[in-house]
Amino acid sequence: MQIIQPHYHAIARTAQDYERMAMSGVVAVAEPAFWAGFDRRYPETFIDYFRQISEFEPTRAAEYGIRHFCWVAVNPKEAENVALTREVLAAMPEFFAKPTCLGVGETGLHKSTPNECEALAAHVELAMKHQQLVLIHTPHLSDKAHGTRRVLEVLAGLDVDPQRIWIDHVEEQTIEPCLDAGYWVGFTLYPVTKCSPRRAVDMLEKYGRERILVNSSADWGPSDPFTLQECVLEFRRRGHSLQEAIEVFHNNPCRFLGQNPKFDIEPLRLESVSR
Amino acid sequence: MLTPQQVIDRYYLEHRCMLLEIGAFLDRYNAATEAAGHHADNTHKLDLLREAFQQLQGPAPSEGHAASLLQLFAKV
Repeated sequence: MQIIQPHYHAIARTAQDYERMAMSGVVAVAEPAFWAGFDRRYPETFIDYFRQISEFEPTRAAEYGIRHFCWVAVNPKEAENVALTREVLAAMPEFFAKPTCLGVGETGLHKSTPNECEALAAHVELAMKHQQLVLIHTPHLSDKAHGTRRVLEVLAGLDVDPQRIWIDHVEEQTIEPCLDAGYWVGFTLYPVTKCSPRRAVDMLEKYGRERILVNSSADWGPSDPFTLQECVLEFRRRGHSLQEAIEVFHNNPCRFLGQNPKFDIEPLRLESVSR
Repeated sequence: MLTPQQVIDRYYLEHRCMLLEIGAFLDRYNAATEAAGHHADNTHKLDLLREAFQQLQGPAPSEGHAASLLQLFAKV
């Protein structure tokens, strides 16, 4: 089965992960800009990082037949540095012109401070001005519910097209208001701190598959790109058809990411042929 | 041996995750009963899990929680 991994931090992973993903059906990944584990001090550091994910990483993925796309943003954890954020935002439109850049992400909130909220608004406004897609990170653990509410409040104050915005890392207590407001949502499958494959399938069964993306993020922390395949297996083991699985794990990413014409992978439909 | 605080801090997230899985399992069962219009014919395993939750809320038995739960689950 062909799978798209819509949120994947490839620079933190090995070539073996690409190889195994290719062997397990992954045809494309999309890499949002991420926190490096420490707060960067210079806009040039971001610009080189954006070059890495928009120029170099697609060549590494191509070795395994995987298409690589990216997003650019200042990570919410670094948004407290207002001057840095402003300078990086000014450099981002150059990357919107890259052939594999799909938009702005992952922006969002970490501690939901006033500076983070202002940075989120500035990122979204820039994306809307340049007709880009948006990927929004919501906070972890105890900050999840409050941070997600703040994300929705910030977005409600802006002139946005909800269909072009994906709010990621939703869980059982945050999915409904995001879907109700018309946004796409993402389940991020982590071994411990986010959603699990089983809980993701529970939510798919409860809310249906419309405007839902599933990803494993897979960064430099405790994470595993194959939680996505675990989720496919759990989905199929509960009796959902192969076409339904394709709709969730391949076609939904095509539908959301394909709003940017650079993402040219088409949704698939199974067809029986006579012997 | 770890200090009491280390035990909590080192294993909190892992056990938070396990409890979320248990919560989701119970939600899954409730959704299934709602969809089917009836409970499972044999709820013995579920009843044992509920009994285990009760045991965990009380003081640790002399043999410890884990040994006590294993004896309970031996009924299946």
